[in-house]
Amino acid sequence: MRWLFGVVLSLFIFLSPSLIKSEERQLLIGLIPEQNIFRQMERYMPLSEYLEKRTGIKVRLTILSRFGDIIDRFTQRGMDGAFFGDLTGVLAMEKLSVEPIVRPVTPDGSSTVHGYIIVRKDSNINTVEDMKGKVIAFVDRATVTGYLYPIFYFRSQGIENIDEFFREYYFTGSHDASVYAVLDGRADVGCVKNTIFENLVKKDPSIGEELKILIRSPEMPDSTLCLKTSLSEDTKRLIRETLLSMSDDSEGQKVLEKMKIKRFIRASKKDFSPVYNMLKAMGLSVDTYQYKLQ
Amino acid sequence: MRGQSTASLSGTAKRFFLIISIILFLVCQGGPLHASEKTVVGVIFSADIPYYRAIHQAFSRVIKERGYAGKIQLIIQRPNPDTLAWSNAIRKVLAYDASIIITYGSGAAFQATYETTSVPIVYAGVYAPDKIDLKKKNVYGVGFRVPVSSLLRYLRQMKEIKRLGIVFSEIEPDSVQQMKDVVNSCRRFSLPYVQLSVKRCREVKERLKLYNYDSLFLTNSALVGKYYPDCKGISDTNTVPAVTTMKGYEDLVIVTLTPDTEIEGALLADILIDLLRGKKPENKIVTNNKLVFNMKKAKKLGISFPIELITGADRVIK
Repeated sequence: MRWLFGVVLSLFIFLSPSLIKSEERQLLIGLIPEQNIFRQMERYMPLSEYLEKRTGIKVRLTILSRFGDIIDRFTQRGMDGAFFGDLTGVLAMEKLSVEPIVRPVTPDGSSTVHGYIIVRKDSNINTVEDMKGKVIAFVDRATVTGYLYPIFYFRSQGIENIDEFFREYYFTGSHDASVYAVLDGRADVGCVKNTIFENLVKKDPSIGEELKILIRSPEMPDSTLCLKTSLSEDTKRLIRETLLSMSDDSEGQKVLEKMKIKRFIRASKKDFSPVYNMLKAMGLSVDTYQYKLQ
Repeated sequence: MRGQSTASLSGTAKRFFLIISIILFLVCQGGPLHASEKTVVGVIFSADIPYYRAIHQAFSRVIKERGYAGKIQLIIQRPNPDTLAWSNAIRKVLAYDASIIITYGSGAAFQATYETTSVPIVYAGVYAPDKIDLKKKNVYGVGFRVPVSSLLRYLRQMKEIKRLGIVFSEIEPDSVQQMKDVVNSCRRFSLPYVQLSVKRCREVKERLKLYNYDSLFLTNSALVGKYYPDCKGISDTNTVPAVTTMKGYEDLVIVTLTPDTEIEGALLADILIDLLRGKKPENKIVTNNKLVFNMKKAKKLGISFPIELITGADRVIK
């Protein structure tokens, strides 16, 4: 039976390009700078090549320098879709008319991510109270793990005004920069997504020896590929099916391995419920949420 | 009668003389009293290096802003970085009746503890003071903590290190402590290293010439800070990349991770003001650091600078 499914899927992928509208033979996909932009581009490049080879659709990538930029520049740059993060995904669905297509599963089998609030082990910071008067590094206003959750958590601890509680706060622009800021003592406290933190520790175990995780956020959706709802159903289906079946062929597996992904799974708006719930609990509205850096 | 009259006159005269004496005393004391309101503060730089100058500048600014500039008289000494010169400088300010001694760098701070146990000593620009024996009744200060492992991490990302030379001063306890911390990090990273120990000015050049290394770590030291810039002529210092935790060497090395001297200066001023008010100050540690990459120097040394590194830097020299 399995071979039959394989044959049908291959036939579908083989024949589908002919069904694709000519204006959709080229797609521009946006990336957010969850890690530094060079590493991020390097990570996604093999995927765009794979998609082009399998679907006949030329997939070009564009990376934005700030998380929030993807919302502002999506239409301006003529993007057809993007890999959105937790909060940018919600903002995009509400503001840009995009729909979730697929999201990744990490090698450990997890399809969601969580945030950490980290400090140096030698910092004598063990509680939120110890953070008073210190410097905190957030990632970007348009991330849950790198900003929204920490704010939510601090509020739950009675800290309403971070301007008063911390001596200084700033935005690093990427999750890995937030880790390095704490490592170097350029910030006392940092916020980071677990996958980025764990990849850095895997690459350099000394990072794990020097930092400690004080707080962990609930699970959030991660790097979800969303495409414009206005794209034809054939295009969306072709992209979705190709990505979903990537882990079934050796070439696809190699690409996934490079991206440190096990496979892609189908994504839906429901995946973003934790983000919607958090916004609601904080009394924030997607329409008025200030995701831009001042 | 006469006797009574004389006694009465004598009483009036006594009162008169007493009042005049008090007035004269107050008038005469007015000037000196005003002058003696200024507290004499001896300031000893372990060496005249940019790092200490930056802290002192910030300190002076805060003292002025908070209205204490007119209440203190600073006697500044910038001796050469050796124990005898530090001792002489401290004795000199004590001879000027300094009520408080400020020292920049651990060398002068330690020497001051040998010279006086009663005059308060306030140190600044000292690496990890909690790890060195600076805990004395009359000693307060502002130290800093910079993760030396971060500097090694950046260096490793730029080039393969075959042997790291760690330049440190034996006469400065915090420089020795930092050397030990660098050695520990080298062991964790499995990096070969060589310790370049110096005690006197001429040894800085000698050690740099004597040993083989392909990267340098300049520890926090008045001696190293004062004489390393003179070693530019040594071929190795022209060809190997160096890193340091001392501010003011950004043009000579490729990476600096330094404490924020503005904060160090401000905290030093806080301690001095506490002492002037008769309050017991608390020791402070600065943990907020500034990262500077020197791409220009890296290029000269033929090191390709990973551009991704610079995104988090506070400053990049191009």
